[in-house]
Amino acid sequence: MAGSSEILFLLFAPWVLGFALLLLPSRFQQYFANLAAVIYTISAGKNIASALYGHGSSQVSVDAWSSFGWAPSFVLDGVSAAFILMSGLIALVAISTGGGWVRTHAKLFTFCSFATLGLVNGAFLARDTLVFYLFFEAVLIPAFLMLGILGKPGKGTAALRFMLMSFAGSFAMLAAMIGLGWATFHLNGDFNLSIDAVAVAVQNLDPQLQFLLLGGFILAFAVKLPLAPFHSWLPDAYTLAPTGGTIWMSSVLSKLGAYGFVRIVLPIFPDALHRAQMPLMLLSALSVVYAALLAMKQTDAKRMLAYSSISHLGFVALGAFTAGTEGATGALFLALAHSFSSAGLFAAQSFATSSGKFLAGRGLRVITFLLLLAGVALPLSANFVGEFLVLKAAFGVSPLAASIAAVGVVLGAVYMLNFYRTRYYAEPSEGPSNGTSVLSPMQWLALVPCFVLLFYFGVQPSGLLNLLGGVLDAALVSAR
Amino acid sequence: MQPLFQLADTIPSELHWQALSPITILAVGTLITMVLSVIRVHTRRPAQVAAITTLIFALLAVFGSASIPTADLFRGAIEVSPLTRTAWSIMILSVLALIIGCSRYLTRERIHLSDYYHLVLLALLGACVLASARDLLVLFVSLELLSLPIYTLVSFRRNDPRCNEASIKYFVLGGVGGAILLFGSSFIYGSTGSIRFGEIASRIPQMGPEMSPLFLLGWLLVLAALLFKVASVPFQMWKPDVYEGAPVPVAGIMATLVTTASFFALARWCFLLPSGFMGGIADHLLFGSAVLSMILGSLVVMSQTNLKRLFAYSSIANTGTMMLAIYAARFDPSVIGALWVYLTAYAAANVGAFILLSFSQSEADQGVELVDLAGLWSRKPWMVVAWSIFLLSMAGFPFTFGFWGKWLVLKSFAVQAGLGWVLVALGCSVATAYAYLRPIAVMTMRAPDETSAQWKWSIAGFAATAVAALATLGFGIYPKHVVELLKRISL
Repeated sequence: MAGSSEILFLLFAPWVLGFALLLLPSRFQQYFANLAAVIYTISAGKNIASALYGHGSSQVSVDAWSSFGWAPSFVLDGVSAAFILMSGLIALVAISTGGGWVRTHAKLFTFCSFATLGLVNGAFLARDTLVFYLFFEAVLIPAFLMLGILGKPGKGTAALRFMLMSFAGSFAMLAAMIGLGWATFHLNGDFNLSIDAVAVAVQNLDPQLQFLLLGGFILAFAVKLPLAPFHSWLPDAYTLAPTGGTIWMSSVLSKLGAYGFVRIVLPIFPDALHRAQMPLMLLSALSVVYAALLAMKQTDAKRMLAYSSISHLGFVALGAFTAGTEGATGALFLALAHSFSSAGLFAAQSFATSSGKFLAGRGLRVITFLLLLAGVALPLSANFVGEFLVLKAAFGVSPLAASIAAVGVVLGAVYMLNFYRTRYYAEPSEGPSNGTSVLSPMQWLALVPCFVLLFYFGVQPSGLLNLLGGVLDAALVSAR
Repeated sequence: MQPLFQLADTIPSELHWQALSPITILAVGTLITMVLSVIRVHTRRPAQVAAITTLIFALLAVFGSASIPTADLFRGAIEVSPLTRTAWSIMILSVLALIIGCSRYLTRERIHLSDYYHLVLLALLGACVLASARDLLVLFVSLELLSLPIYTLVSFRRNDPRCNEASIKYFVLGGVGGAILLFGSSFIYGSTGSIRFGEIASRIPQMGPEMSPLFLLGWLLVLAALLFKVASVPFQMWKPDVYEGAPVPVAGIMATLVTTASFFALARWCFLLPSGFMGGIADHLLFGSAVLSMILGSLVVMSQTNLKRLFAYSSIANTGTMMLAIYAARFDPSVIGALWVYLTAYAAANVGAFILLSFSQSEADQGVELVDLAGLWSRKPWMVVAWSIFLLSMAGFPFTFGFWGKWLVLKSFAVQAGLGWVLVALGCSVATAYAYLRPIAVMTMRAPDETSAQWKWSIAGFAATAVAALATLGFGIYPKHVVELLKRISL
């Protein structure tokens, strides 16, 4: 089948690399893992380019899971490609942040990183609700291990809460999937959970049932994204995890929720979503503001960034719920941008505190400030492009929700600038200064890609926007 | 509704022996093991070797007779078919893994009696016949043959009062169950004039209204005895105490062998009664029992800290889910394959879990508690990986075999009972997920303290665990062949 080798590469290469890294000694794990991440990302880029520009899109049918009534498949298209490449670069950032795990559990961390990479690739390539569900659930385990084994005290409860809330959401999605399968069963005589088949079958269901099934999916993605009020697992999980683990969770795992909203919910439930649109958009907007208000009160840097993450992802949800191409494109663009800005900010704050005292040399201060500007969605950063598109589309559907969310932008500036002021402009703490907090090359490797990409796509977004928009246009139009 | 009960074409008599060869080999092997245990009193080794050899030959015989079509033997008393051969393979493999994997446990607990092996083989013999029984008396005899050795096996740690208590509880309640089965059989004979399932099935439509209540009563009494064996609500009270008191391999045998055999018999028994018989009261009872088992097992399992009790309650919850599959299959017989997949996944995960449990050194004092798992990640990481695979399979986590079982059962159940009950089932899954995640969390996240038990493994145990783990994970990632094989087996 056309392009199947590229898809198989994306699915299996991270696992091969992960197992290969286990054979290397712990001392070299970080270096070799970074090397592996770079090699993987470049090869993935080449594979994706050849698949997309050679064949247009690629598809591979999974024979192994075909005994349940239909043949599930993986499909590679522009949107999947963007997210897959993003995850590859985030792997680089996450592994470069270092931390206590480099000394104690290097192999565990790098293996979990590559396992997460392999599993999210599967999720982003899925064109089938069952396949998506499998990877969506499975990706919880590496995160659970990273948080639970390498985290700070209090990690056990945080890890269990993270897992159980995600499970509860996922089981709601599983129930909705079974409902969808039952709908296709009534239509065609057998279960078929591929997105196209399900979208057709849903049209024939009565509206109440459509609402319920939509609710199941929304619950799962609302816990994952997260959307207030389902966010309570996040602050502890992000704060107590090692920085690399936090970066995986905020930059990659939460994007599964965003991706799910746009690629799974929108094509399948266009009507039910249109009817439920107002409350959902209001909920997203309120989530933005609520999380922003909470972020303003935080004194711990990581916790503040965790709440700011919830706030920004509320924008993503807002864009997704507009159920239009423009809003969805903006949402996905913002999601990608947010991955890098939050990864960069988490990394930067960990470098500044890593010596125990808060010391930041000039280089670190500059780059933190630039990343912060991106986080605030200043024009010239990619976050601005995303948020602008989202607000523009949202205003067309629900001016109220858009206005509330726009307030969140202002609040975002407040807490981010306040954070920078209190940390980086404050008097240095007493005690012998070790004279320098020059970043090591490895640490630069964590920060530079984020910064470069954010400002490049802030200035030149059209290529990526066209890529995302083209795919979404086709997907959403065919759903009507 | 009962394609099963049409008498199959009789196979030529020279094939009869081949069809029954697994059972014959088991019987002969049991006798040899028994003799060896008497003439070689001081060592367990000859009996152990004889038992393992018997099991391997029996398994080969099952595969060797795979080409024989479905047949009723002994004038309809026993069935030999792909269904029974599947049942026999699952059971023989489970027992083989448990015997090989837990041998170190017996040495440590100073269970020197080589009677252990022939008792296990006798139970297996009873289980195999139970899975093939199509006659009420054969059902009773095989059920007793399965149960009596296990009552003895449960009491093997003679100096532990909890062990003796468990054995007495199981024996008394099991005895009552057997008596109830006979009582019900008498009503069925009285109302239909036969004890063969095939003949009973053909006489049900012709039964007059004065005989139907009697038949239903008899059917329900036999059902009660079978539900006791699988520990479904309201007959589940014995399971936690008996599991807690029994030696770990015996608890493993109860979890895998007894449950598997009883479910095959239960499925056959439930298919005997047409749906809607006398107002569908049987369907309601089955449904109620299934859902209540699932709910009760899931809710109580969350608070357990003793690992064997945890597995007992988890087994009650799993029983509930499996009975949902039987309920769904009463309306659509083609979905019974879901039950076989779930049962196989459940057996594989439980075999592995109990072998791992036998590695704990704390049994002699107070049983394996959750705290004994603390810090296992830093001591024996491979054990944590194995534990996680089995616990996640029981939770129905993706990429484990247990997920596919759960998926198929819930799928078929949704079609029959509606999405609301599926939500209930999934709610119970969240509860059990907590119960299964907690040991994983304790293993990986808690530091070991002095009161934690040691975990000592053996090569045989490692091999058996590895096979079970590979099966669970492998069929989770690539379920196609196994699922298609099992789905093709209709009752």
